[in-house]
Amino acid sequence: MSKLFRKTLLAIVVLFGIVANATALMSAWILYNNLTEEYVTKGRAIAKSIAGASVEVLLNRDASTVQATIDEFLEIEGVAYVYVRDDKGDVISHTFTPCIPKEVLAGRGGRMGVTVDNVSLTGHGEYIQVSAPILAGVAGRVYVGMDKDIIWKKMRAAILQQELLMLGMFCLSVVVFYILIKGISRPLTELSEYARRLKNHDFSATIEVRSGDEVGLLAGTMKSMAGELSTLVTGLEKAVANSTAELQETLAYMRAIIENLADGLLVIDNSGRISNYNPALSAMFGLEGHDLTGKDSRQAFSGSMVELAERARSTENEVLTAEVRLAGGGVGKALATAIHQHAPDENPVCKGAVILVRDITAEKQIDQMKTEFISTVSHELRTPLTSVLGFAKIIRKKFGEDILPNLGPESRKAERAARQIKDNLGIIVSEGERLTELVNDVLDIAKMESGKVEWDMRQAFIPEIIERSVSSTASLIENKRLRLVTDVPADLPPVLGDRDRLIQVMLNLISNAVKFTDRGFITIRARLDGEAVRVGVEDTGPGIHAKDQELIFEKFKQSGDTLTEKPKGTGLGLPICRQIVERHGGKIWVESRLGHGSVFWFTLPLTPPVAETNECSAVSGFQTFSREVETLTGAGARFAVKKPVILVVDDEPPVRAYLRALFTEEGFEALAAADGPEALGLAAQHRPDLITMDLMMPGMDGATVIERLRADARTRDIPVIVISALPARIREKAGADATMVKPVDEIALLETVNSLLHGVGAASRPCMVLRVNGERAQSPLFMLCPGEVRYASRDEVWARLDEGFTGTVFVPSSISRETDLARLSANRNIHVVILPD
Amino acid sequence: MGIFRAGISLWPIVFLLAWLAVPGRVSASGEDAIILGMSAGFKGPTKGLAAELYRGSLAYFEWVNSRGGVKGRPIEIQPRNDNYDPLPAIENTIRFIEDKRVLALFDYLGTPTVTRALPLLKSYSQDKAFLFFPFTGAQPQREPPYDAYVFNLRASYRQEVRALVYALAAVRRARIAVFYQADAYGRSGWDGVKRALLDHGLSIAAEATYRRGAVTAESMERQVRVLMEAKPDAVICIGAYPACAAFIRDARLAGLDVPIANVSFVGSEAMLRVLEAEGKRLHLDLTVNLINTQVVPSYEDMSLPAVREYRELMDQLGDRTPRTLMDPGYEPFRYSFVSFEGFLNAKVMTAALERMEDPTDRDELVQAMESLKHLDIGIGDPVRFGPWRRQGLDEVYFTTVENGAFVPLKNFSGFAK
Repeated sequence: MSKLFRKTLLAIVVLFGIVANATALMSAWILYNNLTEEYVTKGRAIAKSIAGASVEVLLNRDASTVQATIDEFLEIEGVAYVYVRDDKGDVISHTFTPCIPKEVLAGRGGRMGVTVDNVSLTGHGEYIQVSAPILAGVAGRVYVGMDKDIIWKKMRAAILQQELLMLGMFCLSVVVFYILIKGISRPLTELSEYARRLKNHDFSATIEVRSGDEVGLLAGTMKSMAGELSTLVTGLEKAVANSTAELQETLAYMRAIIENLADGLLVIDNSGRISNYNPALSAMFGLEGHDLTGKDSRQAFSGSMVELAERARSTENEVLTAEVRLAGGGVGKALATAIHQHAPDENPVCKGAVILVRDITAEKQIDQMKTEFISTVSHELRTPLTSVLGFAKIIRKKFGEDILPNLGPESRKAERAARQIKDNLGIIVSEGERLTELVNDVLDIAKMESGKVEWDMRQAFIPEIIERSVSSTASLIENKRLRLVTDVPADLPPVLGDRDRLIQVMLNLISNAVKFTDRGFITIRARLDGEAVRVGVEDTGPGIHAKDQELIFEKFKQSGDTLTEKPKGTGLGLPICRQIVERHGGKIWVESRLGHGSVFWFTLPLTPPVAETNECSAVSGFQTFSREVETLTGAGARFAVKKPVILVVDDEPPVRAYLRALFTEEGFEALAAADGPEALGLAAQHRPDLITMDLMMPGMDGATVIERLRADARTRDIPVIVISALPARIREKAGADATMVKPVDEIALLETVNSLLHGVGAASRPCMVLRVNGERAQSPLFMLCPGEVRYASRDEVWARLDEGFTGTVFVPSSISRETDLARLSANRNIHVVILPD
Repeated sequence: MGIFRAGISLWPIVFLLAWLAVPGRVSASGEDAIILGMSAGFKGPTKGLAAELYRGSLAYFEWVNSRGGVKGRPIEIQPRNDNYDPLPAIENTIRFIEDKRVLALFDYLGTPTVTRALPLLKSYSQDKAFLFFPFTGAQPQREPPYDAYVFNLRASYRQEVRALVYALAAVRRARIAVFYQADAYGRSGWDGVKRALLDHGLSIAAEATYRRGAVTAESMERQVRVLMEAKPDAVICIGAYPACAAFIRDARLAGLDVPIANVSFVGSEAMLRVLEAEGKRLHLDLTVNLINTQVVPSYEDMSLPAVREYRELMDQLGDRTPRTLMDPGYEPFRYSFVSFEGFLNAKVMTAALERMEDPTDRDELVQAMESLKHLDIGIGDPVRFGPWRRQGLDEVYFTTVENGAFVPLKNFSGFAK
């Protein structure tokens, strides 16, 4: 059944219901009125008729005849009862059965004229009672009861008939409407089906236009619309097909490019799923034969690759790089860029990331080889030099102290030879030292040029650097009886730089100045020069010829004739300085006039304004310690009650021999181990008071040995000094209490050893340790404290400082950032030592 | 609307039927026959009465006819059924009057039918239409203006009920209730009771009616209840035997055991037959305490010559009935008060006819009848007519049931309160 029909049917039902009932009610009402009227008329006529006919009879008191008369009217339809009262009011004739109703018996007809009443008789029903007087009431009164029930019955019958008629008409209407609506709805259904097919782009659908009515019109319109749509869609489809073909071509082109890229390409979407990749990538990660598309990159890859992808998706406009591990042990360099969709007026939406991976295994290998070469060369050069130089010094010392005084005056020739030997030994030592310096410089510059140097870029303070440099070279200057003038404002802003390297620059420049100046001044200046700090070292030496002013910054070039004049250095100092300064984004040059001295300038750009004052102090505790050691050198005291035992660990026999000789000479008892296991055994057995540790050893390296030592309760507290040719950074990582670089400086080594064995400073200098969250930190460095180690909270520390505390304050590095190190350092009475974790 | 049923007159149809039915019978009866028109309810509640009345008259006329008739002319009764309904009765009457061969109207039966036919007689007075011996005790045909057109033989209901009331009052049964048919017959009995009671300074204790045409199967409990409320000493019934039998049954069932009296019109034998049947069904003797008034002597009184003659002629007649008019299944009584009355009607009619020079002349008939100033018909009392006397007999006879038959009631002391 169509919806239209249902709706119409409902409307018909409602309409018919209203009409039928209204009509029936109306009819009933009219009928009721008509019937009532008719009955009243009829009753009136009957009553009058009886009244007229009964006059004579009544006067005769013949009830029987009256009865016969009234009986006659009982036959008339609608007449329910008739009764007659005589002049006394008695009922003399009636038609009631089984008896006269109480209401009639009780009644007394007294009114004049014809009356019409509605009466209700118990046990009988409702009646219209018409009464008429007989002989003007003198003879009595006749009453005719017209049955209302009949009216009701007739009304009911009428309504029923009418409703039946309505029902019939209704059924007929429904049928007619059904046919009509079918005639409307069928074409409509066809039309909607047609429209549906059009919607599904089925333009082959046709519809027959049969009628000229609205539906036909609609069908016609739809048909022409379908035609236009068809044309439009066909055109569109063609255009789309062309575009698609072009797109596919482009795609294929792009695909070919991507597929043939030597680098691996990986595209991931925002949820981390792989949306594109090329065969090179599969090959790199050994994933050939796997379809990665749609997979989660976290499952397909691991490690830094995943991390890179995650980071790339969360950053914007930044190219991230990482080294990733490739299949077969290779190394790849990955470049990741986030893909952002820039919608106008909106924030860019991250759509994923593109990662390009290049296989750099070969480069890495070359790089590795180079590094290894340099390490090897430096190691191989320095190790014999350590021995040669060390023994030369020991020989010279022994020769000078033990042999030369004992020669006696009787052997002048021997004395002369001995003096010659002593001089020669001096030459050996100085030339050995120059060779060491040269080796260091060569290695340095080689490393710099190959980019092997790791720059520890931090905020650096020029005044501090200058001060440090000056203090290092103070003895040199004094030896040549020169005067040093420094003109450095204390409030210079910090620069970003590698502090050690900058000190190296300053040391080079100062030592050059000292070297070439015989008398006069050495002036050190520092100025703020625009966005840079300009530092200059001026001397009053011979000056440099203008043609040499550029030359001197080249390797192995010195001013003057090197053939005729004795070289005064390695010739690598200034090139190294240039390397360092240029690496810092600065410039180095010289201003000089012959005979009037020279000024070596260099500039360093200022730190970007992200000034973190604490950062500069947050160097490792060890470095701080080393610095303090330097400054306290002179105060080192010896408490040699019992000979302390030192274990020397080094795989090189000459170094072992040299160090043993050095320590024995200095009054220590020396043990030696050639490798890690032996060292561990000796350490456990003899419990030495100190251990010197080489790092690069066959089998177990030094770092591992230190780790083992720390793990053993017996050896945990033994201080360890690393002596290695490896860079400071690696040395520091070994976990030792101090590090020294090869070839080792004897004096520094001995000072360090004494510090570790006997503590820093005098017994009068107490120690204080800052507590970390109430816990007491432990460190072998506390050996530095001759007396009691006191633990204190931050507030207590400050309180004690205000009370005039003098001594060493240990700050665990985990809270060093939170502590005002600058304020601590500013106190001249104390040392600050930052404890490594 | 089509529901208004127009008052379509049934008259044309009734006339047509009558016209179709009558001619054959007329032609069959012979031209020289003395034809008497009889309209009675051969069907319906009065079928027993009509049949017995007819049989009684027929028995005597047959005997007269068997002896050569009156002046050589046989006497023939032309019966017509009116269903005890006034309208067909009027139809029949018009037919009879307009048929000049019909000498007179005879043996009409029923008060409502007769009282409604009376005005016709008056309006057809120039046609000299007279009604003889209607089987009803109603008052109208005994009073002006209709007494001029009617000769009655029997005593009136008023006389019957007066005799009853007087007798009941004599045995101190003063609270008398009336059960009557709601029509002219019942009304005339009711009127009689009222008048008779008034003579004693009493009034009707209670009254109940029933619709004419009621059958025995109908319940009369409502009527019994109405009457019992008044605690009557006796009940006088003015009705037809089916309704009266039903009333007696229901009254007895309800415990109303006072004497119940019926008038002659009830048809005593028919009532008794019904009561016996009902009593048998209910295992109850419904025949006790009954008083029936009669307007003819008991046919059991063999001392009367008329009774002997009646019995002889009835036996000769056998079980003949006007079958064509009646529903099948009616079993006639051998003897009955009604057929005895019919017999006497016929005897008086024959006596009048014999005094006429031309027994087919309507004009002579009234004078002949009026001349019967003292006619002995063998029932002890003479029949007396005259110009101012239109009722031949005044005697009322009481009967009661004994051994399954109505016998003369000589002594009322048995009904004393």
